[in-house]
Amino acid sequence: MSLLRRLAKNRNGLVGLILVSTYVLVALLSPWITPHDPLTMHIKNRLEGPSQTFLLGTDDYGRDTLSRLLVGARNSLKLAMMAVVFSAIVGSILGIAAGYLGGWFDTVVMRMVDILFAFPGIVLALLFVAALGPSEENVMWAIVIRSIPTYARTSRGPTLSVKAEEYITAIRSVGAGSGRIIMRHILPNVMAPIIVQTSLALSTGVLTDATLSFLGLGIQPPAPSWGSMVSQARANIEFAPWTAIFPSAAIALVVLGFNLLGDGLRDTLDPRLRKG
Amino acid sequence: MAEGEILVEVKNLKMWFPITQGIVFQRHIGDIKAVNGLDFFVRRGETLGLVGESGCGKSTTGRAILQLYRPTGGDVLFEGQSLCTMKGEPLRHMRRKMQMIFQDPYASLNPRMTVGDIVGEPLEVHNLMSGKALRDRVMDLLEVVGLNRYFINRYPHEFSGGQRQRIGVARALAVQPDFIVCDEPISALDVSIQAQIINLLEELQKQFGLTYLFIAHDLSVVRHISDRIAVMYLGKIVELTTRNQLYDNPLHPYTQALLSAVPIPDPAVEEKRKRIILTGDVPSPANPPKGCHFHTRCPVYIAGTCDVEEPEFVDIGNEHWVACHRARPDRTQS
Repeated sequence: MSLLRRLAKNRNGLVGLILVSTYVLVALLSPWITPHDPLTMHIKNRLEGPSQTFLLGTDDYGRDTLSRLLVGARNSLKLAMMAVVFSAIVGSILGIAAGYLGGWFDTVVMRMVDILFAFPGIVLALLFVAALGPSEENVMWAIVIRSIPTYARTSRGPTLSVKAEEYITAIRSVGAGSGRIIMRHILPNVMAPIIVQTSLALSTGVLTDATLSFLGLGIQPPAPSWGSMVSQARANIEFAPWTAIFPSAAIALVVLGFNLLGDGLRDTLDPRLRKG
Repeated sequence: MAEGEILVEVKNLKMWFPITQGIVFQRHIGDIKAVNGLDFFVRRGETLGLVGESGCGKSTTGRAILQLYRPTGGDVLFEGQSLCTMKGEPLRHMRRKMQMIFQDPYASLNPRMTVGDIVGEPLEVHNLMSGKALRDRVMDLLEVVGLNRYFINRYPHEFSGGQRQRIGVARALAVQPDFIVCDEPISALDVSIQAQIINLLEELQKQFGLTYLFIAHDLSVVRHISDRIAVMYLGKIVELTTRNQLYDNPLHPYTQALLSAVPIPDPAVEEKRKRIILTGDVPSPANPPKGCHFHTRCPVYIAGTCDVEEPEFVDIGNEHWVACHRARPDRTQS
C-alpha cells in the first residue's frame, strides 16, 4: 500500500494533508489567482469589510487582504522550504556522522547541539536576526539555526542503534566500507524520522517567519507577509477585525496542518505501530 | 588429523577493551582483558570447537581473528599472511576468504532488505557479479542451503529462525570463503532445528572443503561436530586437544568440571555420574587473579605454585596442550 493511501486512512494525517496541500497549492498558484495587486492601495476603500470586490476586506491602506494573504503564503512557504531543506541535509549529515563516527566528533557536535537547544527557539531566532539585521535571507538562517539541532538529534539516534546491529557486523566482516553501510543500511532507517521531522520543522519555520515579521524583523513592508499583516492590523482590530483575523487564521491553519501531517506521518511510517 | 596444512594461526592474541572514566576527558583506568594471550592454529578442512562459559572471550576471539576488532596484541596469520598488520584494500580482499555465521538469526539480517539483497550483498561489495548473474548465483546459494530459490524476493520476517539461519549461512558462502567462524550458530534455535543446521554445516564442509572455528557452549554439539576442541576460561585457552582425548582424558580441572556437567542419556550411567561443582564466581576479566587464572575456583590447586606462577600452555604429547601445573608430569610430585 502506498504511503499516501496509508496516510489518508489516518484521520490526523488526512486533515493535515488537506491543509498542507491547500497551502502549497495556493502558494504556488498565487501570482495567477490574486484578485487584485497586493500592493495597490484602493484609497477609497480603506478598512472595508468583506465584500464582493474585496472578499476578505481591505487594510488601512486599502490593499486587498485576500491578495496579500495569497502572496504572503508564497513568501513564507519559500522561506520555510529553503530553510528546512537546507537544515534537513546539513543536520542529518551531522547527526549521522556523529552517531557513526562517535568519539570526539560526536561529543563536539552533540554539545553544540545542546547549546543551541538550551535557548528557546524563538529567542535564538530573534537574537540572530536582531544581530544581523532584518532581511529575508537572515530569517531563513534563523529558521536554519532553529532546525539543525533537531535534525542532528533525530538522525543520530537511529544511526547509533543501527550501527550496533549484528547485520552491520555481518556486512563489515564481508569488507563493506562506511559509505555502503551508511547509504544502504543506516539511511533507510533514518529516513522515516527525518520525513516526520521535516513536516514539523516546516510548521516551526512558518511560525518563526510569521513571528519575526510580526516584530518587523522579517520581510520588509510593503511586501506582504502574514506576520506583518497581523502586526499592522493591531491598531484597527476593534473596528476592522477582519484585517487581523484572516492572516492569524491562515498562520494557525498552516501550523496546525503541518503538525497534523507530521503526526500522521509518524504513525504511518513507524514500523512498530504498523505491525500492531 | 595429526597433519595437514595450517590455515589460521593465532599467536599470543590479545584483545583488551579500555575502561574509561570522566565526562569530557576520558581517562583510561584499566582494561577488560577479554582475550589475554591465545596460541592455537586451525588446519585446513578441520573444525576447531571453542567452548567456555559466558563472558570467557569466545566470541571476542572469533571477531578478533576476523579483524572485526583490531587486536591489542599478538598476531593472526591466515595462509601465512599477518592480518593484524594488514589494512585497506589487501585486508578487504582477505575478508573474502573468511566469513562469519552469527548467533542471532534475527539481528543478523537487515529487516528492510530482501533475501536476495542480503545474500547478494557480499558479491556486490567485492564487485564479483551484478544483474542477472548475481540473481542466479543467489538463487543457487539458496538451494545449496536448502531453501527454495524463489524465496529471493521475500523479507527476513517471513521466515522461521532455522530458515533465517540458513539465509545467514548462504550469505557467508556467497564469496566462497575458506574459513568460517561459526559464532554459536545454533544457540538461538529450537532443539529440533539445531540438528538440521549442524547437518547443513557438516554437508557444506564436505562439499566445499570449509574450515570452521565453531564457537559454542553446548558440549555435546561441539563433540559432534569438532575434530579438535579448545576450552577457554577467562580469556585464556586452558586445554586444547583432539575431540576423543578431551572427552576421554581431560587433564585440566576446569575441563573436568565442565564435562562432568553434561548429562548422560542413560539412567544407569547417569546415576553414577559424579558432578564436580565449582564454587565461587568467575573473577573479573578486568582484574584476573595472579598465577593460574583458575586457581580461585580450582578444586585441586597447589598453594604456593598455582597462585604465584602462571602455568605455561604446552603440548604434553599427542597433540594435547594444557595450561595446568598439575598436568605437567614433571610437576605432579610437588
